[in-house]
Amino acid sequence: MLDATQKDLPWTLFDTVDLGVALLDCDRRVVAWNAWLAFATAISREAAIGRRFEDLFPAGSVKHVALAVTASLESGTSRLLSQSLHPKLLPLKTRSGQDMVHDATVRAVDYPPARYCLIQVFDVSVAVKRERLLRERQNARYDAVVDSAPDVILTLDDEDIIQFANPAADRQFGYAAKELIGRPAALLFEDRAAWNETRRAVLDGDAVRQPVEVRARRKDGSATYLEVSLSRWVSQSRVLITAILRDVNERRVAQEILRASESQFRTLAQAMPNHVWTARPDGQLDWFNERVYEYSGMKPGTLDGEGWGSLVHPDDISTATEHWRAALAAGAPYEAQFRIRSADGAYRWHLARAFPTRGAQDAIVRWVGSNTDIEDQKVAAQTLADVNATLEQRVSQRTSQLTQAEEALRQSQKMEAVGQLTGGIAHDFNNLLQGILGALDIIKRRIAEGRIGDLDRFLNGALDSANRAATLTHRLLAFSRRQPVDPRPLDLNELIGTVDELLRRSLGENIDLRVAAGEDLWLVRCDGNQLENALLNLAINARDAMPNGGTVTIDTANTVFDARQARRRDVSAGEYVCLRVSDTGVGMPPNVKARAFDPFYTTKPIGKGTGLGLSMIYGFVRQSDGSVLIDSEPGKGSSIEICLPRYRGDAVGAPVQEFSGDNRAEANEVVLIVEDEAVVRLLVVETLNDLGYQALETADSAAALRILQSSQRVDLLVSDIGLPGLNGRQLADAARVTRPGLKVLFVTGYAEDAAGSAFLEPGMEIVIKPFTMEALASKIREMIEGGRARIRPGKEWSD
Amino acid sequence: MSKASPTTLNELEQDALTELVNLGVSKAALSLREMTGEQVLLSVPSVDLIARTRAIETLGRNEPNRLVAVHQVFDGDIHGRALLIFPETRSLELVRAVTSGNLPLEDILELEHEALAETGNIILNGCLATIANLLQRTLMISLPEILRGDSASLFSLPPPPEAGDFVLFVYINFSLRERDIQGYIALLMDLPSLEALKTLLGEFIQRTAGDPPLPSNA
Repeated sequence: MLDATQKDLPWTLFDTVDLGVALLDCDRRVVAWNAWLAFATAISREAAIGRRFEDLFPAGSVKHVALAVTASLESGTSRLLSQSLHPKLLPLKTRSGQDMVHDATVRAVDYPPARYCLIQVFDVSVAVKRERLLRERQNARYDAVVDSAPDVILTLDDEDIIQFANPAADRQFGYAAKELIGRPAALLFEDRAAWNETRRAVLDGDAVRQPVEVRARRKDGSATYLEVSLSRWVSQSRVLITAILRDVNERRVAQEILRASESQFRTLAQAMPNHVWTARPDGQLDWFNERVYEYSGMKPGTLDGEGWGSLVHPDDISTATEHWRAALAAGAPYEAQFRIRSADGAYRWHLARAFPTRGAQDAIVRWVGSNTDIEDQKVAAQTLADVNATLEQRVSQRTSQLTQAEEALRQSQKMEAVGQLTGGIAHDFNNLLQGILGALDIIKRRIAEGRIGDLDRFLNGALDSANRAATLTHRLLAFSRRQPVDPRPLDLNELIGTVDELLRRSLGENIDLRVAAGEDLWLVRCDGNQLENALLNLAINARDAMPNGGTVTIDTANTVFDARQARRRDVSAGEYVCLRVSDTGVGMPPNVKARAFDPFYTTKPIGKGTGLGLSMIYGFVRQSDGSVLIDSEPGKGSSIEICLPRYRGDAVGAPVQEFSGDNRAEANEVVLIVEDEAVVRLLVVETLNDLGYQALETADSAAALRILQSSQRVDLLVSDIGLPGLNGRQLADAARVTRPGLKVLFVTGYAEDAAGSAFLEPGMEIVIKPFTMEALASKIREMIEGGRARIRPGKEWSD
Repeated sequence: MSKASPTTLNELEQDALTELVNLGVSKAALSLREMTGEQVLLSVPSVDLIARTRAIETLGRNEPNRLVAVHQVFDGDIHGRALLIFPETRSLELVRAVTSGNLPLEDILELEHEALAETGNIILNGCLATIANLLQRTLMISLPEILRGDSASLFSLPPPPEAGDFVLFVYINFSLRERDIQGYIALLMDLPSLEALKTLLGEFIQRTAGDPPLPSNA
């Protein structure tokens, strides 16, 4: 205990302690106020003593302490008032004048019968400031990360209660931090069980958990996909979890799109009847649709990489690979054809195609390819090629047959015409023979009687008749001659002139033929023989249409067709030469007229015609770019018009004009005659001798050849073609071995020989029997002189 | 007499004690409301006097997780320990409830200790001082301390308890700022203190009812 000298020691201690102490009586008036408190409140003890505690401070500023004082005095309770819950409990300053951070306790002190209230104040500034500094330093870093994080960051306690939420949580969920804090985080997630399971795994097991994707609900009810990472930590023995929630909606949408696209591709690829495959940018195949496995019978996985190559036909693999490498290198579409082995071992042709798909920076990310079975196409193509080849062959065969048939038909047409002519001609011929025979008979008789004074009249009559007969046979032969179609420039009037005689004979005596030849007629270009044939056919048709006689008119004219006229005839507008054959016969009814050009259509009795006449004419004229028109009415006769395009050029191959000049030999020219027919040989030799030629004669080619191989002068060889042994042509060839420039004149009675004029070489010509001696003489003269001109080249210059 | 069974309270004593505790808690709620400016509801559904070992068992069964407690020692005619106990996880809720607005977690964690101490102090003091006042006795109550641990460690604080210690076990519902928190108040006393309490309760009943307590064996 303290003695008397120490009685003030408690008061000294009271003023010395490093805490504020005040004692209030039951009326809350200050009864003790230590020095510490006087400094901190700047209220002196003298000023404080006796006054109510709360009256020492501004009104209401010390409410909490006042309440505690009341409770303490009334109920005897004691109170702790901490700075953490009551930042400015009392207006206190430190010695340096700073705001003092302080705690306080308020206690009842029972000192019966009285009760006092003790207030103690503790300065905790240093500790608090140190803590705050530390925390601010930590938080600055922490806040920088957490507050600005795009991801939601939540801190959860070990019962899933949210203790902290960063600003991103509000952006993500629409809940302010204060709405989230204190609530279980599981409420945010759709699958709460899964969430809790994950959370417990972190609480109980691994401190850090791999991210998992969860579906969460926002405040507005919409769903959001989040990737959750959880980590466990401990603070003051309290287990906490930091949850980082990353928004993966965009990624998910992209994944969904990709998945949908991928699924679409797979579905499409599987639905395709073709093989579909994909390859990596390096060319390694990495996927095939079911078709490939079905077709090949291979197991999934066995074709990846280079495996597919085992399916390709060994002969095709190098080409296929080469194309593939080229496509890979160029990044260009791939296309190749090769055979692929099917499950049964058979190879079928396929067309493989592939395109690159490109990603970022246009880089190839994948190749997608397909194989299409083209076996059937290949087979069909081959078959078609075979068929085509065969067809061409057959067409050419048939064409040739047709040509032959046409040729034969044309000939038979001619023969038919000839046959029809024969009746009339035989009659004429008999008349002519009668004239010749009669005249010769009279001459023979008169010579026998010695009455030779008046023979010329009979000789001329015989010659005249014979000449007419010769002309007639010549025309007949010429007409019936087998000649190839040979279009050449022609004068229609001239052609009509040459067949005039034949026409008149064939028409008969009760039909009048009138020819109205147009003046200055243009040339046309066509086959003369066919045109003659046509003319004859038309004349015969006309005759047949006039069983009781009438008039046939042949007229020719130059015509210029305008567009309308040309269209009517189905030809081009322009200049044409028209030939019209009109009769005064029965005419044609429209149905006959319409079918007149049809092949085998005829109105004639069986055996009287083939029905091919008009159709042949039509074919020939159309080939020559011309037209045929029929103008006919029953009872008004018929008129057939043939129009042929004008030929702008000179006539060539015009008939050889009769040579009527001086045919006499000049300088003992030698002519070798080879003729097996003695009478003809005799006549020719006599004629040549008369003309001054030295005529050598032989009856066969062997004798002729001996002469020709000798040094005997021969200016001209006149030879029959049909000879025993070497024929005329062979003789000429043999002779020309030693006499290359030998001139040869063939004499023949066969039209076929003449038709083969192509067999004549330069310096060879031909005359056809019968011929007049004058015609022969002029031909010989022409040839010898022509040859002489050629072998004396200097003459033309000197003239 | 009432001494027949010192380890239990008779029905009247039980009712009286429940009423005292309710009054004390109401007083505490008033203090909290004054402090926070918010409506605070504290209610006491039941009060049990049980043996310490049974208290350990009961609390351990009800709250298997770690616990946090505000601890104060009282001394006077009766002496012992007062504990305000919460599951550790709920203690932060309590802090949030008594602190204004939305403090960051870091602040809460930092404040937890002091805030819990101050809040616990108000509740425990409210109970103890009210009881002491009504019993017309004075109790000296220590400053609050924060303890963490399980029920066994909380009820086995040094110095080692004597055999036959009793626990006045009070369930308490705490409702503040739309938060509902269940906790416990436990008053640990030894047998002499319990006998003293019974005596005091008897006096209180007599004063309140104006009649002497009926002998239990009458």
